Amino acid sequence: MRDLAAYQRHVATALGTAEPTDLRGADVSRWSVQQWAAALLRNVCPLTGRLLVLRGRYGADVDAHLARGGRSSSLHAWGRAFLAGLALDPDRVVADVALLELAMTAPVAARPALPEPWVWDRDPWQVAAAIAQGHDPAELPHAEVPVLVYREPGGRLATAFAG
Amino acid sequence: MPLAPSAGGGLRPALGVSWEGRPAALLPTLAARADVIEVVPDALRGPDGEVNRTLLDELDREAPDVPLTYHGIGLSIGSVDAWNDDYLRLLDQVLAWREPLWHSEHLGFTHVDGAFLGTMPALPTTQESLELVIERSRSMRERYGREFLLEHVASPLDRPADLTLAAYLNTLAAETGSRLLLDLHNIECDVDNGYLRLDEFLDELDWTAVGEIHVAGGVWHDGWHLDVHTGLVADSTMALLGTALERATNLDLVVYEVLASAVPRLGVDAIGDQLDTVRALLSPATPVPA
Repeated sequence: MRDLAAYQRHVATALGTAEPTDLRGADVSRWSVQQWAAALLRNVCPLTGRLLVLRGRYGADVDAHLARGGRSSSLHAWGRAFLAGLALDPDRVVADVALLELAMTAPVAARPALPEPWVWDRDPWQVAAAIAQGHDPAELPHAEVPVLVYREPGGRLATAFAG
Repeated sequence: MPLAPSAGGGLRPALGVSWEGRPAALLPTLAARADVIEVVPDALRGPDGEVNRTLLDELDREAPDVPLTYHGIGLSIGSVDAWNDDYLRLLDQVLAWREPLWHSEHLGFTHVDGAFLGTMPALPTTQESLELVIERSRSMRERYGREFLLEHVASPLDRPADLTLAAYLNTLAAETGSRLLLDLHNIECDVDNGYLRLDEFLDELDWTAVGEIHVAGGVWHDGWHLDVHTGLVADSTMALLGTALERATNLDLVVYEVLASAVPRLGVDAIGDQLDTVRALLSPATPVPA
């Protein structure tokens, strides 16, 4: 296959599938892409990444994100897409943490809409601290009063007792 | 733009080290021990897609007088459909900040039909890819008015070939007037992965065209030698550097490349020691390991 465009499409196809391919080196290249993706996503999504690691599902979530395709060459944008997907996760803790991290780190133009009201049964900052210390936040006791998370008019995220 | 003999405070070649914007604690060590800092513009991109000004300020504060080179990974010069204009926008931003000695990139492709691959396969050494890269390399040189060095990429992926790698690189240098960036660890990976014969490559390469050399450490996985810049330089790579130093008569710079994510594991001191080891090899009085 000497035609350059055809070769490049052949490579893209081989890297984008889990199926066997006749392209020598494709298996190890796919492994490398997965390893890089896992390392890079933890750099830009450290909080959610750590939570997923604690729950033993990080590798599977990275694989699922890769499988969606349409990857941006901007790591930050790709990381935001990772968080946006996880914000819809059926696990409420994962979904809330992902949306919180996305809301905290996204530039103004890419900020997600927050649920209104967005009520947490645990203090979100204690949740973040627990994850950073390597503890699953589900082990934290519930707050005595639910906590409301909202964005102030100036753009800063803030919390208040929801009671 | 050749490096002036005194730029590193000594004779050519100067000693360089890569910098990906973190950890900040590494920067004083790099600035104190290296003559040149290789900045990866792609690694300085912030969440908004623009260059993170804080990282530039750190470089200005910790290494105000250390010459820089810009070594990109996002141009995708070999993509048939188009190179990545977004990378050029990033490059324009760092060029407006500080003038580098020169700019360099890779003989690879990261996009196919606009989709990002997540890796950088090497370009096939075909006549078609050579013509494409020559044309685009000339465009880069005209656009920025500075030498534009290109580096052969190590990739485990099989690829077609009309030319040997050395013939490909020799023609590229001759046709563009820009020197080559030779990554010795990449060469070792290609040799170990069955894509290159080392002796033939060393004999065929036009060493007068080599302006910069990279050394790095990699990993082995499932029988493949991979270029990931996560370790210290292997003895075999150091020995190859000795060979290269004897032949590369127009060499200005030798850069030790290490990933930012590898720094916590290796330690700042080990990276400083590695720079000292490479510098010792750059001195003609120092015996080269066998």
